[in-house]
Amino acid sequence: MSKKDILVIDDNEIVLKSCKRILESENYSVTICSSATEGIEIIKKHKYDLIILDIVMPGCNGLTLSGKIKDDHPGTRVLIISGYMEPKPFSEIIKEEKMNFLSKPFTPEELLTAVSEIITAMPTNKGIN
Amino acid sequence: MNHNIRLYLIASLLGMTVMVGGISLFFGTYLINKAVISEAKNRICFDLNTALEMYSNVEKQINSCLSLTALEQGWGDCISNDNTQKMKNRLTDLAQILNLDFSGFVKNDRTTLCRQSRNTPNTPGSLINPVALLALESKSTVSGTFVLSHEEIKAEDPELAEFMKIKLINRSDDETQGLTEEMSCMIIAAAVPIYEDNLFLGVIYGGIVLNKSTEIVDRVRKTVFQNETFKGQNIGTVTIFLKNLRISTNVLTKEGVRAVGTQISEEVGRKVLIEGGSWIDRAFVVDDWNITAYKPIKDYHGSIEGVLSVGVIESKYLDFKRNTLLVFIAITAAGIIIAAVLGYVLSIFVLHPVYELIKISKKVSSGDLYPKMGKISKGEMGILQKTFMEMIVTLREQNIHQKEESEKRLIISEKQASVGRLAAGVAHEINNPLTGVLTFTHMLLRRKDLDSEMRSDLETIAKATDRVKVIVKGLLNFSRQIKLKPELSDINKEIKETINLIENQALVKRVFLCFDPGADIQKRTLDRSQFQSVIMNILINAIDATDPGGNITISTRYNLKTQNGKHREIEIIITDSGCGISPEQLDRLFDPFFTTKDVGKGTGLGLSVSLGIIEHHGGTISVKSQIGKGSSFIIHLPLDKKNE
Repeated sequence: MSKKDILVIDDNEIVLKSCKRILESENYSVTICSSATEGIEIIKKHKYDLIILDIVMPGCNGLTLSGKIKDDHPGTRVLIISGYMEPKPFSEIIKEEKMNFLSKPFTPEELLTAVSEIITAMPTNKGIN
Repeated sequence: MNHNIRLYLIASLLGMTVMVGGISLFFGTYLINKAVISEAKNRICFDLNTALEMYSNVEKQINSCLSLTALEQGWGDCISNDNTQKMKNRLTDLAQILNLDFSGFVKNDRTTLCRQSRNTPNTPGSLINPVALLALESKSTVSGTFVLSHEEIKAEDPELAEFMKIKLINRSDDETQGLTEEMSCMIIAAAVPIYEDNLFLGVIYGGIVLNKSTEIVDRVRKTVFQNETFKGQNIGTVTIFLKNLRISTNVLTKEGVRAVGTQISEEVGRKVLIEGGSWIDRAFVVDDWNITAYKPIKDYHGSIEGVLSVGVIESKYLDFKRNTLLVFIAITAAGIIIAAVLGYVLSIFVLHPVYELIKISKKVSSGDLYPKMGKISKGEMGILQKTFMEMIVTLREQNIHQKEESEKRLIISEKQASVGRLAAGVAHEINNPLTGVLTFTHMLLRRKDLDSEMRSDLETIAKATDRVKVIVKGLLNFSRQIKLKPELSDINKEIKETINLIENQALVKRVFLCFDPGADIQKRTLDRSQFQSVIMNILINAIDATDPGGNITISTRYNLKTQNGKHREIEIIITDSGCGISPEQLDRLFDPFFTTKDVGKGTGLGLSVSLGIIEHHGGTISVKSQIGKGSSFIIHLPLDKKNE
């Protein structure tokens, strides 16, 4: 199993740092990015297996970006993280779109479990490549 | 429209006056007509009686004087001595006293010894005077009215007989018979027998001729009408008819001469001459309408030979009638003018407070709850004014109460929203660092080289952090709990209710609220109370920013930039004509605790909380503004999924 490429987009530095530290400890290749606009540029250049997204960010909200990723990169999976489950429609959208979601704050185990569940569920041919 | 009452008032007063004036004029005319005519008739009737009395007095006077003369001594001597001169002297004295036209002495052997008249004194004639003859035959006094033939009067005085002929005027029926003159004469005469030593000597007689006589008619007029004139004309006339012919009168023809020779009207003639009745009515006399009275004159034998009539010219009464009517009309006209003026003045007095009230009502309806009421009138109007002012006071209190209520409601809503917003914000802010603390504590705990004390310390940190995590979750749950009470709501209805709450506040400032609800706006799940607090919040800001006389319009519509031809969004647009918001303020508009209002007037949380609420409903608020021109707040609300 090759190293999986994960991109984390969050406007909070501590969250970025935490995710990088946790995921790298389990041998994932982790790129971090502090804004949605920057993230969009990065996605264009490199193909990621998983993108971890915060919902509330300046400039662009995570859900819009998630939709865009889904359209442009069908093979890439998205995990939404947020400490702010309001407004309500957000959670409704997440439920209806069957998005992967993890609420902040999380422990390293919770993040790793969520990530590994998504990776395992990915088609195997993707994994071989 | 406002002057209707005034017009009605004037019109009704005028109507009343015209009605009363008209009725009194109508009945007045009727009554005057009746009174004047009947008064005239009464008077003429009375006058006629006076005239008749005077007529018969003439006869009595002749009778009395002749009787006295007959009693004088010496008649026998005169006869026996054939002293006609003495007789003549006696008769001349008598004629002078009585103004007799003729007189004479007839002896008991039917010879006329002496005749005396104005023109041919002492003319002996063969024909015996018929009056004297009557006295001779009856040997007693005879007196009355007689009609003498031309021959009979000629025997007395040929010249007089000629003079007494009357030329007929306009007598068409007689003209055909070739008659143009009336030859016979009407006279008042008496004959008295003379006795001496119980011996019947003869008769003295005397009389006056009525044909062409002016004496009796003018004396009657002078006595009865006192020569009263009207427009240069004698008002009264007196006439003596022989049969139907005027023989003695002071009625004048058009030419101004006495109308001797004219006839009585056919109708009157029939009534008086044939039926022997009297006539009192209008009659056309010669060439004027008169009010007249006629009575027959009977001769000595009791047959109707003539008519005595008096008349008053009608125009005198007509003139009086017209003058009275003119006075009536003048009074009515004056009444109408007074009524119009009075109505106008009255309407000003009565309606002034009404117009004042209208003015004040307009002020109140345009939001001025502190209008100035002028002087309070007396009576019902005063009660109305007082009641109106009480109503305004109640309205004012209600308005204040309503305002307080709506403010209270807003504050509660704002407080709730603020607490929720605060809790959510705090949770969000804490969650990020908490993630770091949790991550690194757990990563550290993974290390194998930790001594037990350090591990124990780290585990304490981990436990404490977990505890914080639970607390934050609880805080979030709390904020979620107080947040939304979603109900399927009609957005237009919610906005209308909010406007109702705040309308008075706007009117007080003379800012006009105009709601233009979009058609067919779908229902949507909303927390009604919070949604209303958002609308109210934005409206209060708009009212505060707008000067008196300005407008605020609220409209709802679907966003035209739809996706796939479907309405994805409802827009609520609140536009004011206020002072506008500078670009720097616009950036910080939704920041908590940002306010441009004076200390104590705004919390600075309103718009922040409003945005929070709208965001909780999945929407957002955008603002467009131009300094000095006004601002537009647009609330974008996505439709419920199932409605899309």
